[in-house]
Amino acid sequence: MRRGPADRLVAIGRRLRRLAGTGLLVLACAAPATAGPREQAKRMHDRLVGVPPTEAVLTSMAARIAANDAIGAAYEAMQNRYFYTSALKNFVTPWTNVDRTVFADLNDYTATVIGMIRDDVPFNTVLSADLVYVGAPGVVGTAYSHTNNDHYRQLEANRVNLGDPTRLVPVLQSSLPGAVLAPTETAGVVTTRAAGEAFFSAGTNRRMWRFTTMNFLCRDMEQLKDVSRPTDRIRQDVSRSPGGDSSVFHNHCTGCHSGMDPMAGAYAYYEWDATAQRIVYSRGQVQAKNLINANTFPFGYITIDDRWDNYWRTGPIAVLGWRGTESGGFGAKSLGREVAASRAFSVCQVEKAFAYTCFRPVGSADDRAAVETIADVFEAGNYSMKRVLAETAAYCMGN
Amino acid sequence: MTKASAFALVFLGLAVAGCGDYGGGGGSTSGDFSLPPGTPPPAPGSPPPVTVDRAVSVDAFSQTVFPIVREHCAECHAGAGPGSPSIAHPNVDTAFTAVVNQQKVNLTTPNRSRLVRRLSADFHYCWSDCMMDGMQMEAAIAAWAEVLAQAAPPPGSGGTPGTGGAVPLIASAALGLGDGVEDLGAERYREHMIAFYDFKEGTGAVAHDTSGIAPAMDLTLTGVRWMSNYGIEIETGKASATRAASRKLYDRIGNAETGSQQYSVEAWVIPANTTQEGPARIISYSSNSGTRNFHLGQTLYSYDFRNRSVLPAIDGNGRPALVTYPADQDLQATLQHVVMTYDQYRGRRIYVDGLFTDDLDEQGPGRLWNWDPNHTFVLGNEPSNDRLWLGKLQLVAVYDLALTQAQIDQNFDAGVGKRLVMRFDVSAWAGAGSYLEFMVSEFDEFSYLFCQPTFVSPNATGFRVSNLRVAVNGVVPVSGQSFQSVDTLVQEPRQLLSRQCSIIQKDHGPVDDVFTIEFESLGSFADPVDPGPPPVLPVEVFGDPLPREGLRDFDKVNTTMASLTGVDPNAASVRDTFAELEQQLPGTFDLRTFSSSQQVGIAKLALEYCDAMVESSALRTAFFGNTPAFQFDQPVTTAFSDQTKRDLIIDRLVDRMLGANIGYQPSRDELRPTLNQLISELTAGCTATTCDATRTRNVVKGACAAVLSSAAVTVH
Repeated sequence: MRRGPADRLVAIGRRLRRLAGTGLLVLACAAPATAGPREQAKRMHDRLVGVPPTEAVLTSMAARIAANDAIGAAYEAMQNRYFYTSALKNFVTPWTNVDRTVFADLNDYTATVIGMIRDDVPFNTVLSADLVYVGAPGVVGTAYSHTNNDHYRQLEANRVNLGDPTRLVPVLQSSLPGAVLAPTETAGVVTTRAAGEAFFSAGTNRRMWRFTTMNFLCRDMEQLKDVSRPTDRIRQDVSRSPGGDSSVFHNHCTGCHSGMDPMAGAYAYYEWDATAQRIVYSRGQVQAKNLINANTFPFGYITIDDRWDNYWRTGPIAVLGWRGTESGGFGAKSLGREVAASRAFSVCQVEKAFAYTCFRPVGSADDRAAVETIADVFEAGNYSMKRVLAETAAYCMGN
Repeated sequence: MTKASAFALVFLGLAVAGCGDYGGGGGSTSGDFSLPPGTPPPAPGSPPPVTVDRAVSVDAFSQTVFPIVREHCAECHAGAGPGSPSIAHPNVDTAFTAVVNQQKVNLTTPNRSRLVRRLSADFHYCWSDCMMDGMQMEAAIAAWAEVLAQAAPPPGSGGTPGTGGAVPLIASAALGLGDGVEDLGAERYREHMIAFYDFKEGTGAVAHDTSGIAPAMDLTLTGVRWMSNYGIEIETGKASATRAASRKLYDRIGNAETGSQQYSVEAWVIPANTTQEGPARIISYSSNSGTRNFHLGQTLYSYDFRNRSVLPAIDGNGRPALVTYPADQDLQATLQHVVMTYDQYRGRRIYVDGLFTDDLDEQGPGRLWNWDPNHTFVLGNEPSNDRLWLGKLQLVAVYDLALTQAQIDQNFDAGVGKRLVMRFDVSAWAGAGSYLEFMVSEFDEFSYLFCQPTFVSPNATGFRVSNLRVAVNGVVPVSGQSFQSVDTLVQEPRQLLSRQCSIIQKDHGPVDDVFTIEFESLGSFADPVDPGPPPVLPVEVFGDPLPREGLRDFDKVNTTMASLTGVDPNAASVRDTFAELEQQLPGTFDLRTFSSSQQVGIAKLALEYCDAMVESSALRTAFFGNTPAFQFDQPVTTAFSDQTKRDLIIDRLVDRMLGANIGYQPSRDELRPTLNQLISELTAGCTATTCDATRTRNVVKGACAAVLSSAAVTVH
């Protein structure tokens, strides 16, 4: 067993724990009745970056805040390397796995979002761009691979500064050595290796759609249920009479599947190859997983291509504010554009940033109004996610 | 007009008013609509709806159903909770919209309302007795309907003043199931069939064997319910032949002289669930749970095939069984066509929905000479009543032949249940002789199946047909409509519009329900569906205020400690400790999740960082300064000899780790007593010889860790 300093200091440790038990160790930090620029600056820095500011940064940020430039103060905080290597990494990581856990390695999905925020890449391309961020040549020993995550593990283990544009660089997904996707077949983070492993593996690819809505529309399927949509796109593998009771289909199954299945059709050509440990793409050929269990309801929809249709443009889910140019199309890229063009996408990104920098979800009418205003700023500002983080941090810096 | 039909009209009008989408007949109010000259009024099945002002409906809802759902359903269905739709939203208009647009009430037949069935049939979060709760909800819906009936104008008055009168529709003539012509379907393979049950009796205590092979192996039903669409549901008992009649199977299959030594058992089944095991007996030829000739059983997601044979490895109970591979989940709680075959080449095989399950019989084939002629053929249980299977059977057949794949395919394709050809007259819109043909059947207890709409017209000249909806008693069920996306030009005299089927909910039942088909476009006529006003965001419900402060999560704890102490987080000691403790540290900012184990983990990590900092001359100098310098190399009695020296540690720890002049952080003066107490305890009893410089540094580490692991650092 390794004997570290903690073991050597066991006696002190015991005493500390005893002190903790009596409350002496847990020193209270009382919220002030009012917060001045220093307090606001520290809170903003703490929440955005995750670490306390140096005295110099604190003083500078406080001065900006005093001069009514809270956004400028936030941008100054975001120059800290930990904003990228720690704060943003942990902000994004839960989006990239089924368990939504933050305890996961850096991967190409996470790195791409970090890079897009750092470089102010319009975030409404996050689901459609031919883009992935990788370590610059030579930064770590192992280059990007379609079949493993070693490259990103090394970037994390070596604590490479992801905020340094010379060390984390953007490249075209379609140009990566060994890429199987043409530019038109890439779809931002949807077609990253990490997303493929998490959401294209096994199943029927509906998982990719569900997690897209969770991560980018801030709604799980329960919040998207609408039993009044047409059912013609529900695939054959969905029983119309579970247990011999079609009322279950009418009141539960169709609520999700009638809208989800026509959307998930966009992923018909993608598959996660568990043997090769990479995304594969069958151009023009529907993956078998879309056609399984066809006899469950032979009169259901048969997937013939990667057509998607947004049936939620009418009905109660139209409240998401769909504004894309087309309500239907082919492939994951155009579906990604449809999602990102919605008002719900904009509001969702703000809500995520709000929860991250305010330590709570939207909790009042004032909060809601602020989120809507910041969403307007997001859209008017070329979908700058960095600006959204700055705006929400400023909103929650206290007063 | 009956009271029920008056309610139906009110409901239709309500749905039109509330949905503005596809609900309640489509709301055909567009100015593009034009009636063909001289055409008759819409068909009998789609009477002109009567509308009731929405405000009246909302008011009635607010006084009847709304108080109940608010009191008992709001925890999940108020908008902020996990339930959908928001039927218990605090805003009555939002709740009303959720209830009406998703058709959660049936004002014509309140006890068929989803809100009622959810309680009385599904036992969904009842607040007292589920039946009583369901009755309370039903009474409330009936009261709501009564208010609307009172508010509705008399029949024939042209509707409520100010709300418009008849809404014209492009709709077919109306038909009931009785107007359909039974389709006998594709020919089933019937050779070598020695027992056959299609359960068409629908009533009585006997299901007859109609195979024509004597003796008739009729089944006596106990604890079994007839289905309305051909079939039986095993509830508590079984369907059993007599032992004498059952001997037919032995004679034709197992008997060494007269038996074929091969057989097939075919069934259309609907398992009630995928949780029953035992195996639960679907079809059995046995005497009790310990002895049999064969059975088809269920074990969770698997079918189970036992067969007795002379093979030494097979016991008198037909074991070991051939079981479909569990991970394949071949058995589903839905209508399935199952065939098990036995022959002298491949032994046992199981086919589900026409497909061989790929499960091979490791025991191989064996003669069936040792079958017991005294066993009984039974469905849904053992003759001894101790292996109940819950589910429905819509057809059962036994053959003294192992069916081939082609024969199985033929029977699967032939389908099951009563199917009707229904021709909906649309001659008023598409010219004489035009009709829309559906293949219709009862899908189950709750729905009809409308399949493969085919447009038949002698005038097919490329006219448009779009957005078909099947209406029941004048109301278009919002759920299950699969032909709304149809949009095509009819160019053939007989043109298939869709290969799919719609699942259409029953209303009054197969005897009384009347169907019409509504269109958005038909021929030269258009009745564009009015999508209504765009939906508005429901009024948001905010929960109790949440903490404004939060925790640093595991990574922020680590980077914060690294940042404050100057220790490289990749230094071996802290890196290894962090890796060891990572999952013990906070995973989220939510203060409410904080636990003592997390504090212990934070304290351990703080000790590592403080140890690394204090043991490094450069780092401790950078942190504590050297003007004046704390005497790290002196024994405790010298280094901590007075308060001034102690303050060299305390003040720097407070200033550097908590921040100086930060209003909401503890100040030096507030922390000094606590840290002094800690230092005093750690140095108590020390002399110049007993507590050397190592102890001095350890005491500093303790004070450092106390601050670094404190809430003033980890909470922000």
